[in-house]
Amino acid sequence: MRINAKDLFSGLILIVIALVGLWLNADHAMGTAQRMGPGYMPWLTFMLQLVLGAIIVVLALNSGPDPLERWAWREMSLVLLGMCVFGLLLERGGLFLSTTAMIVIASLADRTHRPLGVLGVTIFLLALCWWVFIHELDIRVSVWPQF
Amino acid sequence: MDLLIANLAHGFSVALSWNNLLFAFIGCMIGTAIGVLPGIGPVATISLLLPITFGQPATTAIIMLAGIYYGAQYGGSTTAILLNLPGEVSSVVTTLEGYKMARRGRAGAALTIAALGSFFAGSVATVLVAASGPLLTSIALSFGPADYFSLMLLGLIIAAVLAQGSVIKSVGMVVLGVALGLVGTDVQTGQQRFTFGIPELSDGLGFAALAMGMFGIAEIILNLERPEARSVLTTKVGSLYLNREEVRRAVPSVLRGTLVGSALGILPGGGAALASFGSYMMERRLSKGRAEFGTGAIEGVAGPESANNAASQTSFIPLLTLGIPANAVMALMVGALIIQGIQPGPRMVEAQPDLFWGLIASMWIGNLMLLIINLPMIGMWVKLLQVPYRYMYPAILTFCAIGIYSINNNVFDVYLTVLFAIAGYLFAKLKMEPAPLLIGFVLGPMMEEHLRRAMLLSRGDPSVFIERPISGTLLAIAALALGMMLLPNLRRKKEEALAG
Amino acid sequence: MSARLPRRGFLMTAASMAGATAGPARAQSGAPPGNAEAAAVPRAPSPSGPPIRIVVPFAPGGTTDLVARLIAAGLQERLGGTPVLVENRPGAGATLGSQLVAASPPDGTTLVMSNVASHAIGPALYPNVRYDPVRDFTHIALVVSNPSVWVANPRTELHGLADVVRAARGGRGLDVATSGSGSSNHLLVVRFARLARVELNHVPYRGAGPAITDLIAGVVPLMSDSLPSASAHIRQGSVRAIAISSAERHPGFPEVPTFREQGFDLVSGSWFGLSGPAGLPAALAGRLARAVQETLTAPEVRARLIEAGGAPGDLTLAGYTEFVREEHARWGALVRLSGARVE
Repeated sequence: MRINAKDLFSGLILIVIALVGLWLNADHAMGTAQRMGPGYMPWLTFMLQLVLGAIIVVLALNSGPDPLERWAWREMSLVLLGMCVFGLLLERGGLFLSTTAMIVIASLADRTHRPLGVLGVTIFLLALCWWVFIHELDIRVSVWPQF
Repeated sequence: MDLLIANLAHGFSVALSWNNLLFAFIGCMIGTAIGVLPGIGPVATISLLLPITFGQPATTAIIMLAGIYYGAQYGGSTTAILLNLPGEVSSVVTTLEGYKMARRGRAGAALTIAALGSFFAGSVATVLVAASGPLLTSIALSFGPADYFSLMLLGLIIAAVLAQGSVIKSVGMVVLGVALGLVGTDVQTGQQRFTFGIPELSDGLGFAALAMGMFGIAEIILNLERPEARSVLTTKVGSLYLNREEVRRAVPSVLRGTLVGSALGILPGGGAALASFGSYMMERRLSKGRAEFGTGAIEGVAGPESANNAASQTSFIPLLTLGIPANAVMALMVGALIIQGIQPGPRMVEAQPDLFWGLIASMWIGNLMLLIINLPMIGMWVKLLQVPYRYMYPAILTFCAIGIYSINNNVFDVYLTVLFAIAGYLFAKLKMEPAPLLIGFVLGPMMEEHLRRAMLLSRGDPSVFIERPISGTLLAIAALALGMMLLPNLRRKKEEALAG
Repeated sequence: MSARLPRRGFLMTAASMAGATAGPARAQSGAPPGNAEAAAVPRAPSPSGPPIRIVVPFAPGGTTDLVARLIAAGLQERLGGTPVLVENRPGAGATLGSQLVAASPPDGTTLVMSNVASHAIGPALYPNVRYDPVRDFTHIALVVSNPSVWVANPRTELHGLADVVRAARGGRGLDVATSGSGSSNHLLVVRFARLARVELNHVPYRGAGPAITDLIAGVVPLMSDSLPSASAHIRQGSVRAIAISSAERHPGFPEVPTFREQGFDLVSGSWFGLSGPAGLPAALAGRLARAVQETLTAPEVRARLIEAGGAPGDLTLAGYTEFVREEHARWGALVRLSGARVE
């Protein structure tokens, strides 16, 4: 087999998004060529995307092999979980709590981290962020938890 | 010519006053700062600073605002090179070769050539503004909606060349970018498109969230995944200065970039955004080091950086000669002038010689200041790369997260960034290039607007795109470029098929 | 890209420092790595309250935007130095920005430049407007009202409305640019076309700036604009004014004939004022209304507004609310009568 799995999946992603887009776009008026409605450009775009996706899939059948790569699930989920926790905590828990949580969670993604290092990074970054974003820029977010 | 020199001398006498120098300096510093900080752009900053400038003389106010504008371009490229974080639209291109250079241990050289190229381009463009502003404006005014549409289409096709891999996949990414740009409220009818009833989406997806997620955060995950790659980043720092070979290769690129940027910057609406993309493509096709593209070619930093700085200077031309703002920043400048009781336009040169020539002189001084501010900092920036990655990435993450939040004071943008980071990681795993997507995202909405207007004016007749000389020429170039890209591909495929 | 401005007070600090002209005491280049950028943004003397944000539902550079900035400067001065910021939220006939403010808490920190498009025409024209222009706002003060003016590219043969009718009858109709769908300028185009029985091809833009650019470039021959946004270009001669939509000629432009004089009984104008979300405390609204009035009566502001072709408003609170109510009813009827639509 000479299937290029990477290209195959790329093409399939484009096709799926295009189909969903076209389905959602059914709600929008197309208008005429002279007075295009809000649905005209999306229709053009998604149709083109559909065609391109199909071409990519066809070409992928004979341009491989290029198998899929492993995902670094652990690293990805920890880094992004950190950001999500930051988002959840920021407005209630304040800047320091949310930033600390994000740094600690994201640090777990790197196995070479030692607790003392994480502590040091956290303290340094908290001080830096306070200085840049609160003291200098005043981004209007509370520093400490709000109850 | 003598008159020009006399005028410029007058301009320098205005711009060199202590007060004006001071404000040019403040403007450059603030500009550099917002360029470096993720998520905060010049439009936001200038609009916030506008009320304060009322108390200043008009010349001083404009000098400071202009400093912010080109300072931001400067600062944006620093993070693009060091951290793969494009702060401004134009620095997306800088990430392509600049970040690769940094990974090879040539971050110092990349930053130096970005600073020097920008300075050179800025100086040339300033002279251009002074010498032939009115003439250039009339060229800019000959662009109608159909011509803009074709120009943007050409830009999108150029964007497909940016990618390293398969052309058809990058075209697909451009189209996907255009599709993402559709999210939000249709400006002409007020219809919500693809917003799923989420009020935060009615303004469209944010450029910052998209760029931070797909470039910056996705890059963190990729770096964590391959420890061997990131050690390169910290151990190989190399010389800060350009070696002779690099200078020899960069000089023609700077010249070409200056040319492309000066030309595109004049066009009102989106011209400047295209400048760095155009220059990148030109370098990839023309420069001697084209084989190295994708692995950190200095031409790919020198050209686009020069182009975007040249464009940011020449985008003042329509403003100064006609009172027509070329982009949102320029529109704010018009506001600042009008509040001061000055109407920008053809008569401004005679009515306000201090302002006109003072601003032009201060543009050059501002560029010199940026060079002086930035060159000594390069060593410091590069040292930053020697911080072990396990300490570095929490810092990048923190600055991105807070920066993204601060754009709208809304955590929704943080979650959006997380989503785009997943998408960016997926794209990297599937060898889909995010740069063309980002460019489609930026140009798509403008294209739609021009397409609809062009068709409205032509009564629904699409032949206007071919019949107008400018539009027709641009489309021909676009078709040619697409053909040139696809042909070798097909031929190779055919050969492979025959051989296999 | 459209101007997407932050809502928070970032860089206010940097900003007010320039106002104080104290100089960049903290702007230094030798700051430690990683935060040199922050050092560039010097710090303010502490402001006396949370900043007030005035949402302008149009693109930067238009009339409403410019006057909003004048008002913002005046308010800042009269409210004890509280920073007053202008934020542009264009789109959908000014209804997007107004929607945003209608949904904000009534604490006086978020205000909107309410206007004829967002509060009179838009609710009748756009199907998706989710606010009531009277009930969902606390109307504070009328700021400016002004007529529309039709301006032509000086290289065309359009010297008066008779020429417009003639040109519009010749085959394909005539292109007329406006700053956007749903403006009073747009409605004037529709009403004129109906009255004169000609075909006018309405070409909406994203704000007056880009539309004027295309008018000067000759992409469109004619534009229906607000007098203040066109006045400087008229004085400069880069566009030719052919008709003004006020009942009488404008004292600043006595050479421009009215629509009525040219045989078309159309009187139209636009206005804008300051409003907050519904339920703004009366004392706060009163304080803001007084500050707006004081700003408008300051001689230099007054002179500048009149020179630009606008009339400073004199309605506040209940008076302005009543005005909005009447305008909403009047334009609603006009929209239905004229059959104007956005496609």
